[in-house]
Amino acid sequence: MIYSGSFADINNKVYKVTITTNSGNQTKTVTLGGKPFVTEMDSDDKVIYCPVKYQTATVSIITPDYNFDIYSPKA
Amino acid sequence: MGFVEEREEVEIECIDALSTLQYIKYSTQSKDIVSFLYLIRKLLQNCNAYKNFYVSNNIQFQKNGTATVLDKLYISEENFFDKKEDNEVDEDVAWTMQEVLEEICQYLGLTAVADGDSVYFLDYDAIRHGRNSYYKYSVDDDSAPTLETISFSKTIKAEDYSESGATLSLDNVYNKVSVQADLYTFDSVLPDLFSNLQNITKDYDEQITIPQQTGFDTGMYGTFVKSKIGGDNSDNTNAIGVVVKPMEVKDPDIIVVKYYNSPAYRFFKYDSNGRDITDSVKGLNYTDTMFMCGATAAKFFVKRGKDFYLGNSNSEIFDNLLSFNDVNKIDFTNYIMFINPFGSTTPVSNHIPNSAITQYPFLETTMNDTALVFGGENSYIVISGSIMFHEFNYYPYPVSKYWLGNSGTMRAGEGYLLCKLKWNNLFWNGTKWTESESTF
Repeated sequence: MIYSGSFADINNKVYKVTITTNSGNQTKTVTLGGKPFVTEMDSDDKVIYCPVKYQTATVSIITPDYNFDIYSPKA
Repeated sequence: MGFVEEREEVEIECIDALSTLQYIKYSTQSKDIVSFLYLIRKLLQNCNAYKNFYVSNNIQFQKNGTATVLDKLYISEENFFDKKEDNEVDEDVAWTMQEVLEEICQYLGLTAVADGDSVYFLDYDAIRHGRNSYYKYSVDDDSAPTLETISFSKTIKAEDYSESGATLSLDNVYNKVSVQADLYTFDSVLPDLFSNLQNITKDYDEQITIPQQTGFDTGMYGTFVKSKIGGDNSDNTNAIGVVVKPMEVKDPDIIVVKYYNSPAYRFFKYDSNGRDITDSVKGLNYTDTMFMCGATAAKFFVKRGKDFYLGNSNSEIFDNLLSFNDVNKIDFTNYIMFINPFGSTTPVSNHIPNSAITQYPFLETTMNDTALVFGGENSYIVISGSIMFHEFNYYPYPVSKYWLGNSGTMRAGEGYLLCKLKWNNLFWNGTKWTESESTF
């Protein structure tokens, strides 16, 4: 399943969020939440010279379904 | 996580592929002495996400050199396994691939950052001095690297980030910037329904304060209480205690109630002829609400009790009933009560049929329209809450669950709220503001 949702930034530029899972190629449109897509870079270290900087993203969707296939390391 | 509402807002956490290395143990067929290039390639292949990696060519063996160094630096894989105790195997003592990567980066003085399908091994000192040459390697094959120039500069302007929770900090080091855009976070568009309420509970109700004879088998009785906590002498702190026996059975519902108005909302009320009498209603008691058609904010305490009737006055009887039922504390719950009674009893029924509901609003905000307009593409406005419905005529309170049974089941066409969202002269139709009225 391919979950696809979009949101616009402050300049009305549209961004598309796509989550691809292992359960087929059918496409499903989802509605993103109030904080649709937030990225964060690891900034725990107080110094710039950390060896690796990891990044995370949080996608918020409003859904009536469980969408279990999203909760997979391969999604 | 539990799913409670029909639609839930679900947050999905994603991590970059570099982060997955923390879950993979370093493994090897034989612990050889391998090059840094071999090691980095092996680690990034396990991410299964990257095609290329770039390494700053600032590290050289010779002054002003430009050669690649990763293929000339070697290390033993033995370093990535701790000492084994008895009965332990390599897998038990192996480092994670994340630890290996971090050690390599620490040794080289580089910082690994993923972007798209590539990983960049950055040398901040080199960047600071304008050295922006990188060797581009392929993750999946041994092809010779190519030398490329990569640089990026950004002038941070006001429109690059927004308020509403955004933080922007810039330390002395130029890369220590964290920005979290939080553009559309209207947590609450409408004012709180239960803030700044004004108590309009009357201090009299002839119907419920009529002295009872001996016990009571039907109907109700009640008394009045005044809160001793909060407010000054001019504040209305009235509350009404009522004992009601729905369906005229033995055990009663014990109710304590207070009625309110709100400066942010208008709770409409209509007489039996459908006339708006909202402004003429200055106070409410329990009997008023039995024959009322409209809405009010209220705080209720309801408990189904055991019948006990003893005392010389309604107040005394009520106190004794509370004591008998071990009620020594009254906790109120906020409600918005919508009443639309039906039936042919006196007074004449003023039930508003479904076909006419759009002409008789029950609840409306009194907000100033000059605030900023919200909404737009991809906006999703949710009206959420819980609803309790019952069809017991002339019992204007949230009856205890004992009485609901099947009668409390909401049937199609009953117990729904028709809403519309209007801002100035525009109506929200679910996706945008229009001049045509839309209801939900």
